Amino acid sequence: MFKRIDGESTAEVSIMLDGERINVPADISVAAALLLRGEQHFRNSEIDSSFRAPYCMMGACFECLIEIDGRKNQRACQFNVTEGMNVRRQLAVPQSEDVK
Amino acid sequence: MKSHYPLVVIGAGPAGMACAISAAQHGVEVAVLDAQASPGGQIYRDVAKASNKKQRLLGGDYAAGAKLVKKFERSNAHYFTNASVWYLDNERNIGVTQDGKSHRLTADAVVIATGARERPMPIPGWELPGVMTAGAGQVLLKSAGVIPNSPIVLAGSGPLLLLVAQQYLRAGVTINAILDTTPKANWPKAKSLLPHALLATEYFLKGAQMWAAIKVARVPIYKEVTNIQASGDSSLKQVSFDSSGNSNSIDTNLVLLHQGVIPTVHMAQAAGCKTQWDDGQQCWQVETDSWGQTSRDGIFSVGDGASSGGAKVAQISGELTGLQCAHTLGEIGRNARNKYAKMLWRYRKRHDSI
Repeated sequence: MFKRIDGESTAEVSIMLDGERINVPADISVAAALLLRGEQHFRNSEIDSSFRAPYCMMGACFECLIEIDGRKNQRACQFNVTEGMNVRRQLAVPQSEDVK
Repeated sequence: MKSHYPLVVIGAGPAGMACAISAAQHGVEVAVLDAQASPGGQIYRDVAKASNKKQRLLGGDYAAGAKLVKKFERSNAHYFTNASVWYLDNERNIGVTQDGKSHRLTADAVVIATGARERPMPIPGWELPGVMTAGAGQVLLKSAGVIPNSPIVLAGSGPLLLLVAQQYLRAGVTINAILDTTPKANWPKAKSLLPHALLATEYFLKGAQMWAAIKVARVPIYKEVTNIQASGDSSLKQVSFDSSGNSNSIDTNLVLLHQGVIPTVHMAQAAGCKTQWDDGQQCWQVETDSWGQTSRDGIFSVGDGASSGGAKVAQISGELTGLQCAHTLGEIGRNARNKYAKMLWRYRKRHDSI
């Protein structure tokens, strides 16, 4: 779905994505790094569990929420990847389905 | 970060940078609070680190931003990055978070230069992965050097859509279709403003170049498009729409939507500044005088965050606001301010006419 243009820096960092160690380009946002890997499923909507991914990439829409280093609901487009970053997608469905 | 500055500028896009440069030049101690990691705002996002290849792809306007960024970095302004302002009131108390730490500060003057965002374009299926905005495509290209590697669809109306198309074609991206939602009725209205707009011929030339690039690449263009719907199961598979009385659908896994940009007025509203609805632009704007002064004493709003004018207007307006702040803070007299401002008024009138 996405690729990088020529001429960009080849520097990489390794991060954890849902417990798996992966290498991603350095100095790009978590959102861009995941999209580059073809990741289209950042979280499940808290309302209807539908799959969600970035929409605006500038911090205004809050669709790209993801867990970064233990902090939930971080906008993936607002943080650059760092060495050893622990990223977890927010895939849990609501706990209280029956109470809806 | 100190607990008080004479001038605090929020945002480091063209307006914020120009304002800080101008105020600092005239001796004002100014702090710039920027939510991003480097100057440029959205339009000049990451311009300082852009490779030559990227600058060629994005075009001359983007590369020109590098000059302004250099000037800003060389100025005496105190620049704080990754600093997210979450509180501003009418007495110019500011709450900001940087690296997870909160700070409270005050200022004698505050300039809100937080820019614009895309007008949301809700269509059925817009929550599907694979539905994004033209601006999102821009951010991916500017900040990460990332472009689509499979055919895409562009849908909506406005110059940014054409700019994205032109840049993507230059980069070798396949565009399966442009769905132009501009209503037929808009063209005669636009034509009536033509004589006025010819003051800014360069904008017309740019627009003409964009259309030419699209024609040369033979990108299918559908006009007067309505009823756009995105569909797919866990991600986008297809975009359907009506155009000239026919129903169509195109298979694609990425569609970029755009309906122009609108000022992000939240901070001004939070501080109690008056806003007004602009019928022509169909959005809220911050009410300001020609120097950017809002209805709240000592609070200014300038650039696309006050009213949409584009990067050049934002830069000129930012400089004017910087001058006015230097004046109200006692660093330059009225005559000096007017002398510097005269040329800027002329430039702004020309760019605004489009």
